[in-house]
Amino acid sequence: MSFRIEKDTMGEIQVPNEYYYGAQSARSLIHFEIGIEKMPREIIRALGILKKAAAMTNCELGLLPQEKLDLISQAADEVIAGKLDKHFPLSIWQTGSGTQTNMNSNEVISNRAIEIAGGEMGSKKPIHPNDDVNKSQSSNDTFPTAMHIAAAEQIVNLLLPRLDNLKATFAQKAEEFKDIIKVGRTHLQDAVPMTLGQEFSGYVQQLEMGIQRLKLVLPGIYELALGGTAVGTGLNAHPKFAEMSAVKIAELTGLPFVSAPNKFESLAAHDALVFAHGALKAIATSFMVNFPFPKTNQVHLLCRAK
Amino acid sequence: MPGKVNPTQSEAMTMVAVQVMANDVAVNMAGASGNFELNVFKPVLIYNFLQSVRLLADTSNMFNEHCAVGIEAEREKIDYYVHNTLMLVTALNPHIGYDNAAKIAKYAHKNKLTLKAAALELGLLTEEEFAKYVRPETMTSPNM
Repeated sequence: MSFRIEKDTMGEIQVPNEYYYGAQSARSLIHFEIGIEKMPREIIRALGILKKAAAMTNCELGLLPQEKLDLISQAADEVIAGKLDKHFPLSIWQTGSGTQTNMNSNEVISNRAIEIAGGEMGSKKPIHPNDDVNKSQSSNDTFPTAMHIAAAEQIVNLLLPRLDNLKATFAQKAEEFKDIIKVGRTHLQDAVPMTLGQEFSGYVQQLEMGIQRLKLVLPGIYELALGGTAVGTGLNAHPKFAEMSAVKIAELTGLPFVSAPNKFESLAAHDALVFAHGALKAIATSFMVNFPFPKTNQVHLLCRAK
Repeated sequence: MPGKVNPTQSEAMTMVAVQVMANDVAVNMAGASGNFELNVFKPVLIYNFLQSVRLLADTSNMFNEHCAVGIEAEREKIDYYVHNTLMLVTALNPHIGYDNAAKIAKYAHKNKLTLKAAALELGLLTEEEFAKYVRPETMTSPNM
């Protein structure tokens, strides 16, 4: 394996040539060899979106030249598309701010942009990981922003459509079974008659309410911390950076992201995600209690593969 | 047992539910553990959060495709249960009163009789009356 020398404020370190990541990611791999849980792909994608939006905003504000924006955008697009996933090897069990993963994204985008420009990886020229890719940002506002982008994308693009599909199937079964009289049971005992369709209509409604609850938590997730920088004051960012970058992120994702009205809250707390996970937990209770009916020992349904 | 078909999708789905509930504890503790200007439990929070979303989405998909769409009612078994249970006695409440209905249910249970046989033995109803009042299909919606 061939290596190159990468440098950061702590000095020099060897990095395998086949990887785009730099000194800080290499140090993280040495010092945080903990567990097998890697930073999720969804967070890496979200960082790609965020870095592209930040570069576009910086360029519009006259803080980043167009040729640098083009290089950063091209590298960020590859991150978004998942082409550079193997260059994001860091553990979940790292700094609690996610700084090492933010730097991982800065380093990969920097080195890939340098490669596109025909430069020397690790030289930080023409694209510097901190001064260019991380311009107007801090890990403390980028990582929580990436958390919200990833959470919203996964809920809207993955979970909600699949809940809708399951709901549609149950609705079809409720109609199909509407004339079948069955024993209604309470306290694990026979109670009074009902139809099998009625029982299934309850499942449909549980899913509908689960979907509604998820939609209820989304506005909090659509608020982004970006622009708060290190502690929420916005130090070293243009006054218009927060609002403008949120607009760009909304455009890139097709989701209605906005700049959080108070950045101190969005760095110090994750109440919106705690609230949102409550909605996920409610869906889990629906799944736990009722839908897996075929496992009851009074089997009155057969579960057959298609 | 050879040929046995187990409710495997249900088991996977309920295991996912357990994991999501466990993740909720991690998300709660991570959310509650910030210091001063910065919450520093971000990676563990989002790791658990995204796992919950992914697992719920995937198990919904698998349960739907490989179980829910193929669910068929075991009509004969369901019907057998309906007609071999004491629950239908509830239909008699408006006609002979709660206390008499309970008497029939307890008598049937004690002597291993059907409701009809118990009602006739106790002389509380005629066969015609029983057939008229005890019709499960009329008992699944408000009917006073």
